[in-house]
Amino acid sequence: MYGNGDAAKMAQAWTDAQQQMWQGWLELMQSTPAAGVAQWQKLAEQNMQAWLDNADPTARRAAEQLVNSQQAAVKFLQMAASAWEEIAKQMADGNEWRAALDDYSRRMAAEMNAGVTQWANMMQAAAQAPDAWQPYTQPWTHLWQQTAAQWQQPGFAPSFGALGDVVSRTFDVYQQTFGRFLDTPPLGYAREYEEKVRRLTKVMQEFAVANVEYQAVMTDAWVNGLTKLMEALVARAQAGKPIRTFQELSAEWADIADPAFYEVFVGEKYVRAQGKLLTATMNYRIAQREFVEIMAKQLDMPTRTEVDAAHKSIYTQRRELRALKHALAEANARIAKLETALAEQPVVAPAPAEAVAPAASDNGAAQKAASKSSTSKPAPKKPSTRKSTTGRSTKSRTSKQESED
Amino acid sequence: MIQFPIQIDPLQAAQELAELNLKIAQGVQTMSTIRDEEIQYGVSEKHAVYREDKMVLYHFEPLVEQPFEVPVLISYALVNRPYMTDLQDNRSLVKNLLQLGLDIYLIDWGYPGREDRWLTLDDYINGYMDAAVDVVRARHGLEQINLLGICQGGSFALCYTALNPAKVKNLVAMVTPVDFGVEDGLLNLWTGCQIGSESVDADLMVEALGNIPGDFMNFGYLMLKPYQLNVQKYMGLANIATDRRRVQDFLRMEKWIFDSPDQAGEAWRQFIKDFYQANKLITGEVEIGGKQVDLAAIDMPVLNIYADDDHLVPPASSQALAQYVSTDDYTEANFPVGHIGMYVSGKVQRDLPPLITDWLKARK
Repeated sequence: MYGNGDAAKMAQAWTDAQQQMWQGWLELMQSTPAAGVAQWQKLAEQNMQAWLDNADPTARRAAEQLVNSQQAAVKFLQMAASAWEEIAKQMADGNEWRAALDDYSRRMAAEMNAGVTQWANMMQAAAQAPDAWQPYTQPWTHLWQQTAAQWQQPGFAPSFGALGDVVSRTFDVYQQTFGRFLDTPPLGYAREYEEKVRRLTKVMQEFAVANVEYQAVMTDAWVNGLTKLMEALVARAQAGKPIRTFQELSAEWADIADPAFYEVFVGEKYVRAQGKLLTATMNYRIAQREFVEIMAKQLDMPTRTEVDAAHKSIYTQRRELRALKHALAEANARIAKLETALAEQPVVAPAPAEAVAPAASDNGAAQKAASKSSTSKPAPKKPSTRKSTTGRSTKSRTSKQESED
Repeated sequence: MIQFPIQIDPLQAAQELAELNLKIAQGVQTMSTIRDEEIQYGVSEKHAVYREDKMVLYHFEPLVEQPFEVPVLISYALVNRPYMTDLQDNRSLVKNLLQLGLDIYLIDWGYPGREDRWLTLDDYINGYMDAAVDVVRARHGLEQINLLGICQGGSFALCYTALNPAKVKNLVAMVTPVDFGVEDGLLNLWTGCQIGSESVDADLMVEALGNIPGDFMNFGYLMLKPYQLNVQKYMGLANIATDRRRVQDFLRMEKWIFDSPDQAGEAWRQFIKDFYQANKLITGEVEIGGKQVDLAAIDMPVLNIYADDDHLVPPASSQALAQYVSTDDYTEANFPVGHIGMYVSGKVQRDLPPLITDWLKARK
């Protein structure tokens, strides 16, 4: 555990590490700010780790975010400074600032989208030409054949050891193929049937395409944010109110960032891209489950589908039980009312045998009455007054019906 | 030539950095010593009076000798935990209402597990909620009680009241979405008020995930204001880092924000498709347990409270209620805060509880 003095030492170490980075940034030199960030981040992580080893989860998460947030802000501000440097150069060459900014934004978007577009094109081409994916599907087919052959050997008994082996080999194949391209969760163990591989391949293609398309729209959001920030900086410069502290710069960006993102997030292009990514992710998950369930069945293990079915059955019975309880409670209430009604009836002299029938009939009527009474709604209440009490921040409003009146 | 707009003096920047880093380091150190037990929530004494499956109905211990005779049942949203209404001593809607003499009950929907994936809105509204209302009615020997619905719990309260007007004396809706087609709400747009299942394919998601993970929901909420909620908020934390009590308050809020139950698949599917995508609540087409929800059946007094800067439930979405209920006694109140500010703002906690209490007491 560190003491109070250690906080000061830690802060000083971070400051020293950041110093170089900021010096370069402030002078708008051709420095390597990314390295500075990395160095500071490494220091911060090391120090944090020592402190937070025994921290509780809520505090640990917040502490990590505290450091990460500064890192995120610093990175963006570096980008902003770099952008300004570019624009300033063009302005020095006699270009108008707005044209310089537009030009910069266009180039930045193009650069950010270059990788994305390349990926999207490759994925779409691959989707249209399944043979192009053969190099990636082949190892899976091979793994399936190998596993199937092993399992079909006489005396082979599925065990956790055998399973572990398959998991390991599956992961290797995954790393050789799709793992090289996509940072997706591990596939888990699998017995490879070709159709499942193809399905998985297809949804992974769709996921990859949707992912790069989404990243492209996110690029739009970042470019929009940066553009707005540059506009604000120009406005400050023109007004002779330059930014003089890091906090001012940070506050400027804080005011701009979310509204700038919002402008993109609210557009149909973004909504569709996000929806497509979500759909692709879900399709991938379903395909993955189908894939895993084949293996689970082979190992005589329950599948997600089977467990869901069992849960549904339990749920249905829970509902039926609840309905029965309600019905029973209502019946008991009626019986209680009947008993009360019977107890309140005047005692009469024993009737001759033939007179019993009408008495039974009376009971039936009482039961009906009791039943009706227990289920009928109370009489409609008198409407409340329209006037309402109002606080300083309240206002009475007439309902639609009232205004129609 | 335009003046260079960033003129930060390197020496001053170094000093700023040193101060900031010290604050961060002190903050990390403070947080490393705060235990979860220190950031507990729920300040008002309460007792469970009814349980069904994972739903628990709580009764808060009254703080006055003779509480107001008609009790209030609070229905909170499924997407976060209801202890936000009783977060801490100086941020507790419940405590303030109790002090003003109300008798308060609260529905805790619990944490759905995978076995609850098939729970429907019918189960929540006609099942759990109705059971809670009946328990409160029976405990007080009343035909009708007051209902206070918050956020999604407000939408549930509207549905319940429309289906059971005879059981509800007064209805209070707080930051309640009514018109899900309001397009200035990013959440409405992302969930499909414009392009339906192309935004969120609810059927596919439930098929893929069963229950919808709370983390997924949270990620969506954070993306609504990515800089403010992921960066700026934590940078602000640096400024209070040495104040242990304020850090505890911050962490308590963090705990609540990320304490998000998974959403029971079937109920979520219906809520997304019928409410967000088809906007059926205002067209009278929502069906709960085979019965149509007609907001015009709400003929008892209604108090509708919304937040001016609510980025989750746009004011227009809440205000729409006035057009669809048939009551002659409709009151609207607004506060200049965001969605969360309704629970934690000092000003709101000063003005909101008396507003609700006075309004209810005038309608006994």
